[in-house]
Amino acid sequence: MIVDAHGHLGSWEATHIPAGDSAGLVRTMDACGVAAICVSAFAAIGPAPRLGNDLTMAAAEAHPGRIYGYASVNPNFSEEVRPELERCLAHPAMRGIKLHAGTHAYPVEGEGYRPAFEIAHERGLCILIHGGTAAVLRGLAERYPRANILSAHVGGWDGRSPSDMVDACRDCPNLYADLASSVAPFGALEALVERVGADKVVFGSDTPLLDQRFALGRVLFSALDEQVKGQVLGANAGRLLGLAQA
Amino acid sequence: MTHDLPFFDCNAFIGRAIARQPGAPETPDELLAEMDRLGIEQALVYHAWARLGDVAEGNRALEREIAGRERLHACWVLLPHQTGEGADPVRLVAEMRERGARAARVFPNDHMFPLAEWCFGPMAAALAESDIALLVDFGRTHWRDPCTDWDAVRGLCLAHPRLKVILVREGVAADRWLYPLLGELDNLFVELSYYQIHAGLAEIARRFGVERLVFGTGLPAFAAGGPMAAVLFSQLSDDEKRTVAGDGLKRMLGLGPQ
Repeated sequence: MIVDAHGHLGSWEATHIPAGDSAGLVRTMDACGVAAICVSAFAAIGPAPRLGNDLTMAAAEAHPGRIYGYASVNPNFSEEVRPELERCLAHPAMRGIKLHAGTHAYPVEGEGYRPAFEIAHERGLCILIHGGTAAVLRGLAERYPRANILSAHVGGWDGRSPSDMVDACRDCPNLYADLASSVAPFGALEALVERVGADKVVFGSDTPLLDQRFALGRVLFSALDEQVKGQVLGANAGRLLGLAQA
Repeated sequence: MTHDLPFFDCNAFIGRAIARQPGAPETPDELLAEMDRLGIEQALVYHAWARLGDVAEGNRALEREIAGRERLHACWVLLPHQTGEGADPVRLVAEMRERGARAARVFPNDHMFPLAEWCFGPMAAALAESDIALLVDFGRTHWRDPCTDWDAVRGLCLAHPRLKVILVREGVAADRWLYPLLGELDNLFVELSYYQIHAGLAEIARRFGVERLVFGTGLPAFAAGGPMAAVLFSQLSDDEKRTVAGDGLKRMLGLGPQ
């Protein structure tokens, strides 16, 4: 069972995205043989978390068992963070939390995000984070040991240079490496798995910002053995998101 | 992962890069072994030394090193001629033909020259006259760092309508530039290694024709699996997939049915 742990939904102001709606995502997943995806609507990681989270939940309801959701919040409106997360996480298809510190122009370790980590820790949830240095994510992983932190875009590592983030994913038992990246340097995936362990690398595509096919092909045509491919493509994400494995 | 598509990679190189990726092929035989592992039949290759060092010597090294390897086809790197670093364009292109080069490639940013008519025009005209395709590589490394001179691409295609121009390593977040140009210019083609737009191949095929898409990987700097899967799992027909995977490039290079 292939599970994509890093997806989005809808349109984004910075670029043209064909077929970014839920039906378009499922068509792509069908073409690729991907069983399930966990998404955050672009609106949710941008200026309109409530609207975006509603879109995510509607997509999950339209495609049960195929689309799951991350709840997202804007830490710049900190009074809304905890209530919005509790509202969304009451929905059975909402399996984690997505923080996009870049679009929110806010530090991952800032007070506005604190309820997200507390809730993830309390409930043992996956929390997908775009942003934050390795030192910051190390600190958060240690402070909230029951939260499973998925560091977005570690898959862009070149496979040969020193990387504090890669080392942090290796060292912290609850810090994982998301593969989503537009850049796939030769041999870097194999090196990442060797460095951090096959149980710590998680297939994510960033689709529909990027095409799911590219991230999937990077794994399928890699030199990893088949068992490891299975871990990376599905088992790890299934475990983090609480999805049953076929 | 097995498949039955006749992949023909238009974007590969041999020779030593600035940094060697883990396990990356360097020699022609190492590249061929990786192509065998992946199921890529043929590749159009340039020599790293022609990009990173001396263009003329790199092109000569390419000829020497791939000699006798029929699955690898030579792609010469070119400079504008005015400095004397290359021969007169007409003579150079004739030499390319004689020595079996199938296509040409330019690195306007790495090699610091404009594609404008007053500089590259004579070379472009000679290539067009000889029906040799030109790959244009602005060296884009990430979509957040745009470096493509779109006006230059447009000017090149407009000035030389018979010249087939393949834009290499472009695409993520680029549709708002690319679509107007594909609509205006029949001689512009898109190499796939960085064209990672969601469902983008089918959309380009529907709007502009499937022949505008040319398979390429960036081997051995980049992993090839992504662009391969982009074709294999695309929402194109089987015939269209074959065109994108390699049949279209073969026709463009004069290697297949015209």
